[in-house]
Amino acid sequence: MKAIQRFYFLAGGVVLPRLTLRTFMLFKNQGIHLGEDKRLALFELEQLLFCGTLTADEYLRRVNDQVSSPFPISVDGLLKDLLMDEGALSVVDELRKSYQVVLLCDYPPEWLLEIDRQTDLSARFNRVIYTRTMNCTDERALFFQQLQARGELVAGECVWVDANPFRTAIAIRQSIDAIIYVEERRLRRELRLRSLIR
Amino acid sequence: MIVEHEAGFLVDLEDTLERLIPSNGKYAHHLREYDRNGAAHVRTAIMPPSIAVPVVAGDLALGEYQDILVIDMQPERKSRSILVQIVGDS
Repeated sequence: MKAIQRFYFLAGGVVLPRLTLRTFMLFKNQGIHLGEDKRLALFELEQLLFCGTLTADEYLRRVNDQVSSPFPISVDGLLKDLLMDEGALSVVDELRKSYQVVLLCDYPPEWLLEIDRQTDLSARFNRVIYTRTMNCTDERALFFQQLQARGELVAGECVWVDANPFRTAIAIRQSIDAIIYVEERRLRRELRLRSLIR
Repeated sequence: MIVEHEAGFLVDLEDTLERLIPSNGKYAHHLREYDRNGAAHVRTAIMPPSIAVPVVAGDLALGEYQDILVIDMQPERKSRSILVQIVGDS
């Protein structure tokens, strides 16, 4: 039996939609064409938000600057009808009976506060760590090393759950077990394979 | 390619490719001094460029641990196109 004590769940892509997807869908639903001539570098902006080198307001401003849209993006628009992944959260609820479960929030703190007002998302986790507090300029090894320097992510005691396969690979290279999140069924399968749930 | 979309496998694949076809290796492709992606060309050459998956009752007939992954060997991020062709009776 492994001595797993703690799980780290990324917010964007696991329990919440990825910001890039959320932003794109917001425009898509409003019938706005994001053509190649007007390239919206959402992935780059998302990484800046993850690392905290971009504020929430600046994110919105940059998106608005890059689209010629009669419906500029806003926090209200971004968070309206936000669908959380209840499948992933049901796994969180189950894991919390036996383990610590930490939410790694790559959404800006003020946005999570707004989400909490509507959903109490944070309360379903033992605690929240904001990715932007790691003082990193990218999502690579340094981010994981910073977390480990703070006593988090102890090898052999933690599992990293993330929809981003590149980050899961980095976690593995830091000797942290990692699961690529796709859907609830597969997450449960991976946890059963590790004998972490029944 | 059809593989298991699992974090450990991705690391193993990356390590194996790096060991067999190092990204900073010496490649004849670099002699023309146009680009420095010899490793990407050789890696691409040993990977299947396409896959065929049967569709049964409207679903892809993949095994429990089979996923379809697209792996881009080029070191620089570029837009890619993927061709999906569905063949069969209507």
